[in-house]
Amino acid sequence: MNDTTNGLYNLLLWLWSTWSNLLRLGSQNGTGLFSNWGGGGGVRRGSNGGNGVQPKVKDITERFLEAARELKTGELVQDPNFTLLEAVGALEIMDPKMDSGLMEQDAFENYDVLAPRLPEEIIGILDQLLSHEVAWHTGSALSQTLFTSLYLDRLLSPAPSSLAEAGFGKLMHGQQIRTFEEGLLHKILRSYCIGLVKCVHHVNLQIQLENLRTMKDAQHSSHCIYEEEDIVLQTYNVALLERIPSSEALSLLTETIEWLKHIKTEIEPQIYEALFARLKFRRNFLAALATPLDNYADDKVPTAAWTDAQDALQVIKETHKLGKEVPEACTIVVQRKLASTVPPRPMVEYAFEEAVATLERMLKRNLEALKVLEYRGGADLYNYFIHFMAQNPQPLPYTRSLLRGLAFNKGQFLGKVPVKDVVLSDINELIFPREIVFDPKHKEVEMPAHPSFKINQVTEWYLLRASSLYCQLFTDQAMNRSRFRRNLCHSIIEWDNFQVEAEECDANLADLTNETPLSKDQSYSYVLSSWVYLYKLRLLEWVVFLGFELEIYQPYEYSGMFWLAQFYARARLSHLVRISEFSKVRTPPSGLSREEAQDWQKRKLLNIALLNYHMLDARAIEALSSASMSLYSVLTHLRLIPLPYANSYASDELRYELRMKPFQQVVSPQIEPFPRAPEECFRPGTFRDEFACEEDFTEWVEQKLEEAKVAVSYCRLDYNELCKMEGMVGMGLAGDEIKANYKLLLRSCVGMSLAVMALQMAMKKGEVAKCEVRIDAEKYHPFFPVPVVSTKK
Amino acid sequence: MAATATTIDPTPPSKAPLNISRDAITYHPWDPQQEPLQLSQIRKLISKDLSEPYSIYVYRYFLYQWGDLCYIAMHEGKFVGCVVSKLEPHRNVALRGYIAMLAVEEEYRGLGIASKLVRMAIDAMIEKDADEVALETEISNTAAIKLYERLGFLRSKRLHRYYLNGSSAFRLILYLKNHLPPEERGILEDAGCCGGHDGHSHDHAEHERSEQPHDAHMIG
Ligand SMILES: CC(C)(COP(=O)(O)OP(=O)(O)OC[C@H]1O[C@@H](n2cnc3c(N)ncnc32)[C@H](O)[C@@H]1OP(=O)(O)O)[C@@H](O)C(=O)NCCC(=O)NCCS
Repeated sequence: MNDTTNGLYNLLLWLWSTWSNLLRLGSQNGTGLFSNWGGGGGVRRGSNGGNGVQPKVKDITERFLEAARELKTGELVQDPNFTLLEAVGALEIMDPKMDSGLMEQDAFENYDVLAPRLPEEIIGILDQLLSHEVAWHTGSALSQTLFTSLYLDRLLSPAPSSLAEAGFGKLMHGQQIRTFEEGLLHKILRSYCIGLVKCVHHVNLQIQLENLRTMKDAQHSSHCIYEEEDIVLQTYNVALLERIPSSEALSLLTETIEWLKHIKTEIEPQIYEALFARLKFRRNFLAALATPLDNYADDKVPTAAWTDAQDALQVIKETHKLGKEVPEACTIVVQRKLASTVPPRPMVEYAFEEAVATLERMLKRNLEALKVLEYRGGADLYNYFIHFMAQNPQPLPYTRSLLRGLAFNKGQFLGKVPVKDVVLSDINELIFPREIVFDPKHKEVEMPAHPSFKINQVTEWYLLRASSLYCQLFTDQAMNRSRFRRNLCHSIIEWDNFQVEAEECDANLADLTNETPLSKDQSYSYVLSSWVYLYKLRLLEWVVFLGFELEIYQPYEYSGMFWLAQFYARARLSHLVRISEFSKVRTPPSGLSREEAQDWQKRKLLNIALLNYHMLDARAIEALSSASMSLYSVLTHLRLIPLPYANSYASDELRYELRMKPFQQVVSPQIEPFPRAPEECFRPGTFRDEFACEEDFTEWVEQKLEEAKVAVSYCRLDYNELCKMEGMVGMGLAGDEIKANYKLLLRSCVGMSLAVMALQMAMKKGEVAKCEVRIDAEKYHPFFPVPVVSTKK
Repeated sequence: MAATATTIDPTPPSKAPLNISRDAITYHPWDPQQEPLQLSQIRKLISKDLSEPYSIYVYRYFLYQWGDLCYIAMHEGKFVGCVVSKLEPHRNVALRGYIAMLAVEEEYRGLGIASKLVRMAIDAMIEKDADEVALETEISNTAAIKLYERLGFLRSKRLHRYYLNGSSAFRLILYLKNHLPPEERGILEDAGCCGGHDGHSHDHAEHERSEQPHDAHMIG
């Protein structure tokens, strides 16, 4: 390449990417300009190209060449605003790998969408569309999935503005369909495709709406269900039949179903059944997706539509084999037409069986998400969300946005309860504060000097701030797991700050309410900050454990991370003990009627039961973490798991600093700085060398294994008990999931205990050198990967 | 060099590659004078392992601004490997090196070429007073992950569907220096340990945003 062309190249690229950006911003006229660039082969057509808007063209070639001659090879004329992002977004025109305009058009032009198709082929086409649809739901772009379909392409371009206009051509809506053959295309395929496009539209809309809402609620823009990383909402300026109401698409599907029933006798029964099920599925799927979330609150819940879609899907699955594939009906050449700034991308192959399995799961979970409408209090909601979102594979973005959207909508919970009230119910369940703190009568006092007025001011401020963080927590849970962990790392800082503020509120309240301190140590209850601290500790544990789930730690880090886990679990346990000390000595306020007094006693008992349950949970987590810590520490120093490499740039201290960064910023509980952190956990390479002799080391190993054994046996008892727990507060919505989770924890517990025994045995026989360790994260709880110890043959 | 040899090196699994002597591989800093020849070779090498090509601009973006952090491996006049990186302040708190691209010609893998190239880049960053080094790599790229972890990198987070082909990534980070002030590192025992609050109020939102959008994804 000579200098001139090289410089020219740079400039061209710059111009190109500037336009690309224009296009990305949705500039409709921008697309028109492309048709004048790229020379003969590389003509780009935007979806709006040829819409009558005549672009103005100015020939800059000469000026361009002149400027380019000034540049040396490799020299860069860089606009400070031209970032790496834009460089990566830039395309090279005429490069076949980057310029979608250079794609062969043949496939595109040779396919006749109007050609008659066999019923088997129609089934094949419908099933291909279904696979593409699921691929899109799981994160692939429309340009690589549904939009590759030449039927959808014909249906959507040029954008039809009414049902009558939406078709494949020739025979349109209203015209007589005489034969089954014509009907296959112009009734069945057409109405299915229209329904499908509407489904995509509704999913897109729902997620965008959720994004907007969460962004509005959130303090950071990072808190929203990220498009692109979870689902690609980009439609490349192709209108998704927005102007055709879903009711019309639904009627069309119903009409087609009726027509099919009408000619049932003319069709082979199996084929009939297959076509019928596909139409039925589409109609119900669309009916469910098109129901606005606001309607759910008014009991217009599309439960029947979801279950009917489920039934139809079973038949689709069984009749798939009747279908005949028509691979030519999809081509990535369609990407030539899309208003996109990305290079040609391959079609996503999503196997039909997998698509159906994913869809089955989605339908089931959409139904499960409706359970939230039966909400029974804060603890319930919390458990329900955790277990719902922790399912593996994780629920699809639509389902997550459905649940979040149902639960938290416009500052209301379930569209009717202010979030503040949910928080308050949670505080009452968990902390059982003295009545005077949240007494609604305070609101009635209008004298600023009156304690009631001041109390109300304090609690109102607190509840407002608490509600926002509380909402945030549920929004964060609706993210994919990777982002959930990252958002939590930020949230813990906010909860930490809030705790400091809440402590001030508490001190104020103790004063304003003349609180009598606990006789034992003269301490005050600090109810508001107690609640905050409890949540913060839960989040801290999550951050640690999600690191295991996401495979962020290397095995030699395990003992350190379990050390951190047991540290936070222990803090949670002692905090719960503190809360219950206050709760236990509470006496009913004076002046209650007999019934009120009974109710009060009942609430107190429920609170104590709930606290006991949480204490058991925290104690079990602490014990299992301690056992895992000891076990992995032994494995590290026996060199049974790989150590960090010696000849590296890292050091134990720098590694510690990096790993502890999210936690280090939290004021309480504060983690130890490196010199005081347990050496057995954080000095994987050198700890062993500290022993004076081999016997000392052996003794240490035996002692650690004994500690692990004891801890594991304790938590086994706890988990056995937790697995049996019935009818607890907070088990209303997710009772089964909670138990399933405890069973999995129990399994990890048993796994750890087997490993400990195997090692003890090997130590006794002096056969440690023969041991081999494989870490199994699959069969056990994702938070507690288990070392499987075996003997080398 | 900041490497502190506190840890123990188990014998590395040695593969027996072609009859190429390690000594015959030479390493060179990027030479802007050679750009017409070298750039196209770098491009060829890197794009082999990419699902989508980068425009020439991406290469120039790095080479023009941080050519001194890019290194090339040669064998008998043949171009066999390269590393492309940059070094910039990160959120105004740390000078962060970033390894943008790394590749070794297929037949030359397993010879330690990539390790050597990355070391050269990191050493150059240390020269320039870098605090840390970062990069992203596909979670299924075991070769790359192992290579970086051997050099001391830790996985700091996971990035869901980070790449355009839908696969996720790990962000790997290597601290080259302490980031905490001495009193928070437990060095001055009595300096009170509650400085956490003001000490590190990073702009989190800013940070998260910088991870997106998808288009700027490099293979480290
Ligand atoms: C990743 C890549 C650069 C490694 O190049 P390389 O020169 O073979 O690497 P090295 O020889 O320096 O390997 C260093 C260590 O990495 C590990 N490693 C390298 N290749 C590996 C493989 N295929 N499987 C497992 N580990 C591997 C080994 O631990 C190796 O040390 P050892 O050979 O002493 O056991 C090369 O495979 C490549 O070009 N891949 C395609 C592009 C790419 O993935 N780039 C990195 C993106 S982040």
